[in-house]
Amino acid sequence: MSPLIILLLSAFSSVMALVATIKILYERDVLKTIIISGVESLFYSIILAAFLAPDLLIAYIAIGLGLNSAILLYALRGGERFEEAA
Amino acid sequence: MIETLLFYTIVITVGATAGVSLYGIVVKPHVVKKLVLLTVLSDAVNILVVLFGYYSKAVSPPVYPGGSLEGFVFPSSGELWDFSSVSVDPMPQVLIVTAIVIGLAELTFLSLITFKLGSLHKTLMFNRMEAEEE
Repeated sequence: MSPLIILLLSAFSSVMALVATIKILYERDVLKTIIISGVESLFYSIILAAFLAPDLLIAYIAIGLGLNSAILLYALRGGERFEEAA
Repeated sequence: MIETLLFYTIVITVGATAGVSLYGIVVKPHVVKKLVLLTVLSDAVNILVVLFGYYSKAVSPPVYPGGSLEGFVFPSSGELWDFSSVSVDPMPQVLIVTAIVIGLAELTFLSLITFKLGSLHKTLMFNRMEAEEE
């Protein structure tokens, strides 16, 4: 791939990750925020693939999308699911 | 020119992601949402550190090509010098592998504390916990 395509793909992924973070900030349902954080981690792993770090890509897919979501779902089981305004 | 612009776009948006998640950690009252934003913050900082090791002439990951375990011939210093001019810098990636694993351990510890806090107070909102104590 040429450097221009790599940089275009990475710029798109970073903008989408910023959009996902803002969506996390204003979402009332905490279960949805956990799933959106998995999507955000997926966009960051696209950046890692474009910037030639395939070992980090493997670790990010497994940890960011699988293990983090499972651990946060376990933590959410102890309390209420919806957030109210402070 | 446009490559420089795109690279600055990536750096600014990833930095803005770190800033937004830090704001959310401070302001939002739900504990699990604070944990989610903490993972987003650590992801953004890791990506920033990986960006330091990249340069636009690089076409290869930092792994020397070819060579099996039996018939491995050590490359001369000239060949290594040529390879290092087309591969990315491996040092930030090595640091980030460690940081990912430490982040996972930290998240496990914090989520166990969160679960015990929720079963003790019957809620996960900080403002309700403070109202309960008063």
